Amino acid sequence: MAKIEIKNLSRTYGKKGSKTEKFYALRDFNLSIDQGEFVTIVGPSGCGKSTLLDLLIGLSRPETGQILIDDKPVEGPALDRGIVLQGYALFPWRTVRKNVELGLEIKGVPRKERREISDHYIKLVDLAGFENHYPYELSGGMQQRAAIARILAYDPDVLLMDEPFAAVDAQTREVMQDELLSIWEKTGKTVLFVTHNIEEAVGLADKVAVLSRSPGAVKEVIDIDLPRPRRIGSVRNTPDFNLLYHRVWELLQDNREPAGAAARLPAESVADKIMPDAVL
Amino acid sequence: MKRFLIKANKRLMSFYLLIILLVIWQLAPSLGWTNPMYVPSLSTIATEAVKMTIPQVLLNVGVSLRRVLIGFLLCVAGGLPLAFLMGGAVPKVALALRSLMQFLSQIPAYILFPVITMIWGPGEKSIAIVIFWSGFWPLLFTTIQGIQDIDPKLIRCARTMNAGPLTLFVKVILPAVLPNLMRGIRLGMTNCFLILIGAETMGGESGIGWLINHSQRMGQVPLIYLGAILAAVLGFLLNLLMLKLENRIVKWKQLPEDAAA
Repeated sequence: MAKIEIKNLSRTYGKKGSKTEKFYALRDFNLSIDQGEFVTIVGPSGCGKSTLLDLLIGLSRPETGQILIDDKPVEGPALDRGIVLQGYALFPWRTVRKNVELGLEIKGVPRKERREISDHYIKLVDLAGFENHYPYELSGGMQQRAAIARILAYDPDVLLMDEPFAAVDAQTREVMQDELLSIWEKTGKTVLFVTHNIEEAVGLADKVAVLSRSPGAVKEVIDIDLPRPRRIGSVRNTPDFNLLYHRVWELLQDNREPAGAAARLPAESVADKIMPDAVL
Repeated sequence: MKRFLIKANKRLMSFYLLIILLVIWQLAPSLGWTNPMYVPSLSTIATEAVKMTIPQVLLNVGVSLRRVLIGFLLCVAGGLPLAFLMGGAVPKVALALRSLMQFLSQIPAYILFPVITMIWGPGEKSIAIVIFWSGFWPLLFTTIQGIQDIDPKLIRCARTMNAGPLTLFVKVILPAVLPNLMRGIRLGMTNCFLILIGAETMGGESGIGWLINHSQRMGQVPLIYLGAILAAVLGFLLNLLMLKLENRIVKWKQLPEDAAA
């Protein structure tokens, strides 16, 4: 039985009552994710990744189709899912500890227990000693780790991640990726990870879902049978990795619109596609 | 010792000019730089204050302080709920009120003096209303701005953790708006105080404004200066108090480099 079952999901945007054609952010989107699986989603900008995450977390509703988690339809935000948003979104008036404890506060966990749990996860993400620091006192990588600990703390079954490492530098990113893998190995959570970085998508995942440009739909799901436990640095230069990388790259190439549209892609994503290892 | 002196120097830096001014003020009349009739020396002013008796001086300060606080509390009691209402809690109310509020806020409190004294007569009530009017608008608009400036990502983030409306308000909106809210309160307080002196000429029987007004009529020039000094000191202290309070409540904000040093 699949942990997450996304069936024929569609979602449109457009002004109410306007006669112009509706814009499909997602159209007939299908994806099945097993318990404990690490799935990454790659796609060009504007392929409906954010829309998909909004639907998964329960902040918006599908127009047609449905999302089942443990066979139950998603009916709104709940603590069985947690999302690490793009750009940390830490609460600046809360210390690291208080940020990590927020979900537990909402859940109504008593103070003493909260503290034990937050201690545990702060250690897990390697932020011990920074419990009482405010977000502005932390580096980008540390803020991201705090954001991850905040989600892990209330123990959701499903972790959703929206380009969590897009804003950190290359070295930090690699450290964070490996840390995420080891946390995932330890906790056995189901992870859906959105990125536009192919190397990240292939390096982390059990399965990579490649999306097509608008309307967003799954173009192909590629199984990544690289050995586990895995560290990105050590698989990156293996022939298997390069084959998979190339496969995903090709699929994304087909997606590219004529030159004008491609030029509007963020610089980083273009560079990533053309020269994957240029940074390193 | 040297380090102590450097530190003391740094702390006193912003007071040096003030001290020099006070010294010049003291010396100017006796050196013949000014006419002591119009600009009496500091010691003359102090002597007059003692003649008036210190309790009497403090009484006037106390009365003024009380008036500011009453007007100010009215501002807070009216301004904060309205700010939250207009800041997004009830969009329709916000839309309905916006133009009216912006229109009213342009009416200076001074212009209201004659109208208010006509309706409510001279006295405490009119003074309170004028002070309220003066502080209400900056408080309201700064707080609304603060509410609208809340990072939507934070609200989104809390909602993904299944935060209900009450949790959202208490744990996200309120703390997020607090810096601007405190600033609005401080601005409101400053405005309340600025209008006070004028308001107290509207038939007050005591207070700093009354002291200035009364002394002017009686031709007691040193007491006019005394009133001005009292107003300045009181205003300075109130602002300082509000700043301290603000920094205490909002300690999570990154301070500018030299302010932190």
